[in-house]
Amino acid sequence: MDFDFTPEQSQFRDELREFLRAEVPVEKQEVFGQWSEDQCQFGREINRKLAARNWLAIGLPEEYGGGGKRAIEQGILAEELGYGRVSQTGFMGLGQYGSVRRLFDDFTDFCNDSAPDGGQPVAEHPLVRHQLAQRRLGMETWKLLCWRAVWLQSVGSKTDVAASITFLHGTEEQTRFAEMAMEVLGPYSTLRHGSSQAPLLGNIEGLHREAMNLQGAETTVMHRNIIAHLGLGMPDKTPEHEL
Amino acid sequence: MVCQTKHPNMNFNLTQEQESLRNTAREFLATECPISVVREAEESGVGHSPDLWRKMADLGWLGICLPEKYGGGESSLSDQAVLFEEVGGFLVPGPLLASSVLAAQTVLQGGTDQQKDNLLPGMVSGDIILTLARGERLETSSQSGSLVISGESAFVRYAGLANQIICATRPAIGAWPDTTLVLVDSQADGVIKTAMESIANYPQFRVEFDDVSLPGDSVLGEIAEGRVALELAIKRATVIQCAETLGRAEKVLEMVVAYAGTGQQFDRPIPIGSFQAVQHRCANLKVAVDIGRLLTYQAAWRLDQNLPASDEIAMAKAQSGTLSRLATETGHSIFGGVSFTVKHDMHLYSDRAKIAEAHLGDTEYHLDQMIVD
Repeated sequence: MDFDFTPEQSQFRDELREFLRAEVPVEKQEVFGQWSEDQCQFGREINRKLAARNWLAIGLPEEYGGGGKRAIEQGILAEELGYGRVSQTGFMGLGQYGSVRRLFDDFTDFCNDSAPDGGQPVAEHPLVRHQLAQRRLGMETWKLLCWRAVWLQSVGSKTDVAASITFLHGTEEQTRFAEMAMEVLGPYSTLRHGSSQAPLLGNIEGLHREAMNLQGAETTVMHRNIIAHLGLGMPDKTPEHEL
Repeated sequence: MVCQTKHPNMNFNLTQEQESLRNTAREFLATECPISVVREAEESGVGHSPDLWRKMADLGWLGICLPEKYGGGESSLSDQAVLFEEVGGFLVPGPLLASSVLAAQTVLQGGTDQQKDNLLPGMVSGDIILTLARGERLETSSQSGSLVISGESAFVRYAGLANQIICATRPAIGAWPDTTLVLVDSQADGVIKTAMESIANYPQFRVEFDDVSLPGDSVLGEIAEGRVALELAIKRATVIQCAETLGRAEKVLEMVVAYAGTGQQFDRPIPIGSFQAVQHRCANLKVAVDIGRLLTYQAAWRLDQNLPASDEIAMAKAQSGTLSRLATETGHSIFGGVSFTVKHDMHLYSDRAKIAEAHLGDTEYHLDQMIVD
């Protein structure tokens, strides 16, 4: 196994990061649970700039005007756009991971920097530290699952079961993180985006609401069915004489 | 199977050589390590099958990662992980992890050339078995010009079988500033081994050292310089133990899915595997198995590439404990009451899962080792 990008892929990722640092000011960054027209509009502007560099459809064949690269490059784009908080449609999986991961990293910084009682930072509290470690394990796992699914796609293998496993874990991990973060923030976690007292711009509250919405894109229950049927070969319906 | 530096390129497949190693291991163990051999080793109380041990030595398994000059196979840690998935799945008895991984790596990383020449070829051929003793209460000191070890260590694996015990002794305050590794003849006067009666009859011992005088060449490497060697050996053994746990969990999943396809509830003519309640438990275990594989091989790959790996190892072992528990819970809940009986095989898996979970740091310990800033 090899868990690394090629040097060219790493370079593409670095160029993207630089582009996003330069092009996405903080006030334009997407906030979880907002879906404002302004942000969607900004996302379209970024898309046009990405298209001008032929990065937007980097995974499509050159004969259709794409970048002629593989699914790996498309995955890098999705993850970096998510991490850069650019409002996107059509990028599931790594895009979702990227945006949640960004919030998790910001939340971890928040816990390391905030000392509400004037004492030790929140992250030094053994329980919080422990939960941050658990959630980071969940995040790193989500990332590995995403990349496995993208890699399978890049070599033309079946991705159905791997995708369901990724989606199931990702959905549940997002919920676990949202609940954990809300627990740490206490009543501040209920403040919405726009409230001057809302920590992290109200992103945690938005994430929590979005986590519920994710169940709408094929529920975790359905993904467990798919894993059992396609992944483990278990019967996918009750025999007729039982009905 | 030497690990070669090559152009990096994402790949989640095993190499062809690893596939063939896995298939060879699977075929060999299916013949040579049926469940009867596992039960026999457990019932003997020794936890070992000398016949199987000899055959594994002949296949080169005991020295798979060691340098060629000691008779080893020079394989990567990832290759060894592939082998140990099978070792785990077949519940192979014997001190493979304790001697061939943990102790052998400690000797390789920390021993002098002379010590490596003396010990490693014998470990590869299966003639020498070593084990490691750690503990806060082990102390070496210099008394009237000779080296003396005192104190005790608990949970020393296979101490009854081992020719020598590598003792990781704590720094003596005001004397040696760091861990000193010493080799102690397990039959020496003053070495008292008491079996700790464990689940699966697992051979764990409390070993007391009653001011045991050691010969001149007993220090492994140099005085107070054992820490680096010990830590690297533990890292490698931790990853390999994760692979073993993974193999066991995969086997449990295979067993429960097969059973659910045929097992019936009372007189209903449909298999219990048709019920979503059963399917979803199996799906959960499948997810955890896939995650365990990714985390284990990521850690092995990083060690093979000489990249920093402490964080990845901690993640792999933290998840490994969760995987162990899930496999146990899933197995017993789907097999039902019959799996609580000694005749059923499931308890062989769940007992070993618990032993592995507690060994080399459990989930909570490794979560604490993870970076959170």
